[in-house]
Amino acid sequence: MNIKTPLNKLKFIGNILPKMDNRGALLIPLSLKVKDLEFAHYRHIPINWNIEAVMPKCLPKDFSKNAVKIVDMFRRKTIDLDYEIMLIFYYKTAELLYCFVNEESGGDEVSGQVDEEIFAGHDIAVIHNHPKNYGSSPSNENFQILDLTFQDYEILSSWDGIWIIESRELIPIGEIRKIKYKIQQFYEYSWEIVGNMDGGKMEMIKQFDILYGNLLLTYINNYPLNIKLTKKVFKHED
Amino acid sequence: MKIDLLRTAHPLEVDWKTISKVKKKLKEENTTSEEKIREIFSQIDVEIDLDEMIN
Repeated sequence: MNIKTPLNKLKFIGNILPKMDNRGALLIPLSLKVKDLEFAHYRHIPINWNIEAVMPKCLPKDFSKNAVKIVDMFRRKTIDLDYEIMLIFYYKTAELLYCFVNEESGGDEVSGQVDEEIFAGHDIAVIHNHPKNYGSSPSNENFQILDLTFQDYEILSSWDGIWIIESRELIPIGEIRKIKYKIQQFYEYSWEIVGNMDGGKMEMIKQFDILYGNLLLTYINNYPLNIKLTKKVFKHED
Repeated sequence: MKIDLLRTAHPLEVDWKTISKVKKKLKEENTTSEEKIREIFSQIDVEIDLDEMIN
């Protein structure tokens, strides 16, 4: 399935968007005529109740209680998937704006087109998942937040935890290019270092994820601009 | 204005293609990958302990 229909094109009454209720379930008003197949697909994905919960302390303080539930539910739904999903939402009101699903990609990407005008003046977060056979750490393309003025947070849900990129200010294009070039260098040189290590293939892969992830954390958080990268590790199977 | 959003993940397999490409680049520059990473960090004045990161 690869049909992309933004939620804001749904027919609705009274400008009502899907919201979270006080138990964390997504509410679709009966008056809403759901035309978005991707969102319907997402809603029907089974929930894994056996993983550690995403608590408010795991996320930035300005995430509302229901926005925390969006992240927790997203992690529970996507932790066992072999493809990627992306949600875009207001992190203060917990209203969902877009849902993109790509079952056909083989697991390594998800994409969608958004209308920048509907974000004006709002508090936007984007969340997507990395399937289990893919690296935990953000790839170069996961730093698109640096290019976008409307987005404050990028959350990545991986097999071993969640990564949070915070960037609220306009970043000059030259700085963005520099950062992304360095990230690509870390990726390449991390493979070089682990390629020279002893140990089997699985150990090599694990060490790559640790090394590349730690390099990212050190570099981004010491960069002389207001960009923050954090990782919250959850209990997981190795 | 319409904006295209793209999110990708790196496959978690040993990337032999990247390893051999980087080895060739380092050989041309007559340096090692550890030295290269330290050089990158020295530009932002950050001490790193690669051994600690790997282990």
